[in-house]
Amino acid sequence: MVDIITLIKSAIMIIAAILIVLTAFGLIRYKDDVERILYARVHMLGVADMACIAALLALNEPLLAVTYFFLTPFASHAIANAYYYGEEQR
Amino acid sequence: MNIVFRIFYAIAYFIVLIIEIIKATFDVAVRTLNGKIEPVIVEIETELKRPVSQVILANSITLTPGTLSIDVDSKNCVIKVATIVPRAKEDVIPFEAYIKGWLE
Repeated sequence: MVDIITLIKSAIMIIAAILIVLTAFGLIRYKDDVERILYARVHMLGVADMACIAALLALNEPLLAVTYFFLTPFASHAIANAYYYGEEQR
Repeated sequence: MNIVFRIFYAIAYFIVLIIEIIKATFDVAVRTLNGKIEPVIVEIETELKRPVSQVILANSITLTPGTLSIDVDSKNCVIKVATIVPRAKEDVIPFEAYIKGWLE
């Protein structure tokens, strides 16, 4: 008899793995000729963040997941802000 | 406002945020495959006056894949947002009303 909770956790892990593969594919897919492509890359990395949070929850690490949930916007915000004002000066 | 309403709005905010995150995650994951992206920067005027609620709004914008807050102008209540495709204001911040009920 397969435990139903183990089944749900395995499904979440598989979905997270698929999302991370999609993110990696999206990061290397676009060349630099698209305008403001850096923002699109940060958007795609947001998908990897959410997949990581789901995987941490499935691995019985809720404290790490909550910490990640609160800390991940700061890094994205810092990258976008630095690029926005650096691009203005160029 | 009554403290019970504030707690209710806080719980409702987290539920709406998680639903929006799940929706946006799959939306952006599909867009990486079919290549329909057009990154733009828009300025969004918010009704929130307190800096703490503006920061929470900007944080939840960044937490949702597909939208990314760049800068917060606290005096003029304007948030610069980069979105992956041009969107209406209500689709970018659907949780503004809940933050307003929670913290304003």
